[in-house]
Amino acid sequence: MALLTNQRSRRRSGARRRSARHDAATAERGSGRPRRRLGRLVVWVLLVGLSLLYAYPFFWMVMTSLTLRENIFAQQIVPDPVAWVNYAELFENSLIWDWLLNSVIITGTQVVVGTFVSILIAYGFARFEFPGRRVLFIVLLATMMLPIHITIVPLFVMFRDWGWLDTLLPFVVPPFLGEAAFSGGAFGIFLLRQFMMTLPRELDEAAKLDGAGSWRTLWLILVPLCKPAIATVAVFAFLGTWNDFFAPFILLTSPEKLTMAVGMQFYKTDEASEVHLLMGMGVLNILPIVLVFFVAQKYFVRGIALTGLKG
Amino acid sequence: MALAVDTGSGSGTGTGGPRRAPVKTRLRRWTGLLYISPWIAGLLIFTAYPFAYSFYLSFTDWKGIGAKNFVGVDNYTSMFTDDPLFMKSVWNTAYYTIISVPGGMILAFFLALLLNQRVRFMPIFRVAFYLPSVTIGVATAVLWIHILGPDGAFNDLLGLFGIRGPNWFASETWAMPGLILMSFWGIGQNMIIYLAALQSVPQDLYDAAEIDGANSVQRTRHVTFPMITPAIFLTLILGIINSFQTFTVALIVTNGGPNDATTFVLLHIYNNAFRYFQLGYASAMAWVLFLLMLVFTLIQFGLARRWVFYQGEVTR
Repeated sequence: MALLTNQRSRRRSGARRRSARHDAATAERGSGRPRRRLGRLVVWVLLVGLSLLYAYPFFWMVMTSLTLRENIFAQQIVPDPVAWVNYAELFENSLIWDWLLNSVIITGTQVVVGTFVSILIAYGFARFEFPGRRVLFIVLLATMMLPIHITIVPLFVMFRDWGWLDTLLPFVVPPFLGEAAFSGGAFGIFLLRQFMMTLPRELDEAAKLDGAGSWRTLWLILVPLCKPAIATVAVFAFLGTWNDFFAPFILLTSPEKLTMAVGMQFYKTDEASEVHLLMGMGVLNILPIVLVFFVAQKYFVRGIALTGLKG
Repeated sequence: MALAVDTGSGSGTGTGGPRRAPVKTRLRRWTGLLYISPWIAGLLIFTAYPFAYSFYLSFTDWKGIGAKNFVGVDNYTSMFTDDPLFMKSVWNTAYYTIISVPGGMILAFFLALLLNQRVRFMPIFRVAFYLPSVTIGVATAVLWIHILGPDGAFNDLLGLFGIRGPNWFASETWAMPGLILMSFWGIGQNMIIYLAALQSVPQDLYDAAEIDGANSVQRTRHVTFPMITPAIFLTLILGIINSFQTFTVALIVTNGGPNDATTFVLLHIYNNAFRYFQLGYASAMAWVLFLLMLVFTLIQFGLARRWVFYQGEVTR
């Protein structure tokens, strides 16, 4: 149960209380009513069956990516021999290195710079009075609901006029302005601002009395307390950028300028005999997400539970 | 945890009298604006300007180069009169939404109920259901082309029950059901939302219902369901918005085919804008899609009063 947050651990203790009460109740009635045991069994069978169904596509993907070309039609469930050589073959294609690098640059900028700037903006909204703040905050909320498909045509034209098409600039510049131009930067600002609002103002006042300016107050007092929210925002920035397809697909064209998600298409052929390489590319696309997921699971779950925002 | 959307109050700086703001407060004003200034610049350049420009373009016949001729509302009328594919794409999107959104919600709710039982290895099951939804993208779309291929794993599974599965994505009839099946694989986020909601229902309510003699079905109907209606409402709103914007799977898996059976509105907009360079027309369709989303969301909020139960507090 490592992925539970504080707030949930309260619930957990609630569950424990509940279960103690329940145990007492069953003890009174005579333990293990057959109907209840049958119910448990049904739940178990359903969970095991359904989770296998949900996991199988991943299993098939990994297994196929490790199957030798000549064994693809051999209907092996687990490949024999295990063909790591497929991955070597993938990495012989120098384009993959370009795509990886591009994806890392775009995602890294969004995660590091985007999150950093979001903290500043959230701080401005959470802790300062200025004319028009109310209206600007409502505008911020409204941009969260604005679909990208409305702005993509003008953005395309604008980037064309600026000579930004087929470069990484449309992806690495907006984060400096707190915009994840294509995956909703407003969400991160909103989430951080909400979190900062829950922190007592006395902290700021105390820091001010000690002579700290607003900048030092932010980094020495607020940011350490906001770490969980910052982690959530960073995780969502990673997810939204790494897997993004719509914008890179439209704005990037040269083979060496693509990202991993868009480059994947190059392996999507109609020839079934290449499916092992295609699935290898799929694994390379998904693996970073899975790794981040297991490292930062609680931030995924919290982000979703907080807002239900799609990644 | 409820996020109270509070736009103004509770913000006094603690300094300054009622009549004349001291220098310090005036300085703090500028500090605040300074902190949000990157966002204001970003808003103007990457959101507000394109948003307004898109509206303008939707009344022109611009092809991306050359003159922008003002054509009034021609774009808006011709999508309903001269472009049968637009109407078909609206129908396709509606078909997908009507089945995949409620279906996915029911399935997610069912999984959340299962996970809410105190079972062993619950974290493992949760990951199995949740992980697909965070990986959704090009890679999983390509994966599902093969899972739902004529000799794919899904048809093998059907074969176990003696059913001969169709060639999903090559069939005009089955391509859309195939995409809907795929969408059921990515419901983990809804499931997590429901699970969080289920776990926050106070035990006291169940105890009280039990004392009143309610059985488990009645408890689910009269305690659990009303208490989690806010979560259901949230997933409904987000589900419809996302579904209206289906693009990647339609492009990657079927590219709108066969015979336009899976041309979604957004795919049609994309084709017009970036394949045929009908930028004016594409902008008009984008606006219609946006207004449709807006109207549906507002209707949902209007209906919500009748069935969504907020427990006296400000939620979300």
